[in-house]
Amino acid sequence: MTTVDTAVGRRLAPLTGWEARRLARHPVLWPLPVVIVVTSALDGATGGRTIGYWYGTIFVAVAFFSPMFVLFAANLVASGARRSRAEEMLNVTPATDTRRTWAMCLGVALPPAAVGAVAAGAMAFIDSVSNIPPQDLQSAGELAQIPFILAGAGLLGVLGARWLTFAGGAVVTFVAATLGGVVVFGRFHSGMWWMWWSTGATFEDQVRVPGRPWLHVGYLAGLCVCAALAAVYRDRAHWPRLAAIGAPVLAATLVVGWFQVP
Amino acid sequence: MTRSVTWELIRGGHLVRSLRLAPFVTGVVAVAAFLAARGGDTHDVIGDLRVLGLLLALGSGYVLDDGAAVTLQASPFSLARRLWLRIGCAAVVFIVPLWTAMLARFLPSAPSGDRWALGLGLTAELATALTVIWAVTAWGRRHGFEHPGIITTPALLASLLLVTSIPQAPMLVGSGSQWTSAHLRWSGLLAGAACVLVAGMRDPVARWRSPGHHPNRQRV
Repeated sequence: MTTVDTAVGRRLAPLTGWEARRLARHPVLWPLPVVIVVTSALDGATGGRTIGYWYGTIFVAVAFFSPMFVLFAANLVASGARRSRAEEMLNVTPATDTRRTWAMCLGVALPPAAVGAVAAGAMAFIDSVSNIPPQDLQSAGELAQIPFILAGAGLLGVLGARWLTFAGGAVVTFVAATLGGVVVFGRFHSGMWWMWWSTGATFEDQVRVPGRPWLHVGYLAGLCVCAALAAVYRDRAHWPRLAAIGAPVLAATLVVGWFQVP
Repeated sequence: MTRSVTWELIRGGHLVRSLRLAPFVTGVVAVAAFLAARGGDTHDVIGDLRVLGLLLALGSGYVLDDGAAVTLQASPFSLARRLWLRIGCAAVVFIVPLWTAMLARFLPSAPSGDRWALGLGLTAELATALTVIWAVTAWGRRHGFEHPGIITTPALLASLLLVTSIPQAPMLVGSGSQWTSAHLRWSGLLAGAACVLVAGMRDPVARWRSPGHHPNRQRV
């Protein structure tokens, strides 16, 4: 093995770019634009397709439709090596499993986060040129949550692929994250602030609870870091490191989560 | 011979063991957790049975994943027969008993005059969801995916989102005047998905031939 090979193996950026390309090209993401276009085209839009309608459509597209598909695409990308029985070959490459998983986490988190940031910027621009009804308007803190929702979906997919290695692990991750979250957090008053979702929209018949959206951004960022750490330090040999780094991060996340609700 | 092979697979328990049990267990656990979260409340019959049906469908998406599929390709037991056998096994062991139990638990809370219509309609919705995911799986296998079960969940979600987004033809309706027309549409989807499933189950090398023609018969 040459020095050049080792250096390439140690650099994270090329691996991250490669994982990002794998995610962007994944067939599970192909139906996403179709679903968004068709649902918005067929939508009754009782008030007409006003600028406020497009404001809401962008939000639903990036905060509701996209995370579902990103989760499965990320799960399939992250489990690809295991499913194709290529792990033995990858283990003898200069890039270690830890480094490859870091690259995987960055590769599946950063592009969706960038898309979320663009969508949030578009919503802010629409708000600046038009009057959005107050009940639909999202604050800057609520818009800032969108990139972390999308990045979190990708990281949850990677986390599920790393820990739930049996067939159906993706379904377990999806059901636990969506239905489990709605049922568990729907049972108490401030539950929506603890969900991995936006505080700018309620679900079912939940009453909107006042809180601090910017702290919810910090809470979501903390959840993203927790998911990445749990995915990277999956092997039993790394569990002491997972406990040493992950426990303070989790504690900080919970503290931020606690303070987001007054 | 074929019947004896089928019977031997069932009797010996090989068929059940060859199914991927983790997704089924996931489905059962999710159903149990949902029922526990509801805490015995059965007033929202339609909404709860739809969620439970969705969980059952998600758990049944891996039925056609077969680790021995490559080995069995060379056996005289045809592809369609193997796939139908797996679907039948999953239906008998998992789907039908659970769904029947759920209907028995929730339907008594519905108005007595609507019970049959609700039960049949919601069963048609579940059957459509199952047929769609199995059709996706069958075509995934046909196109070279070794274990296509993993794509069934996003496929089912995308299908549901698309189907329910047409305001002129509402699908997820409540009990009332639109129930029958909505479930005629569900039945139409079920029939279409069943045709796709049957077509996807055909052996990829099979071709329509005239009865008198045999590829090995040469004219002299």
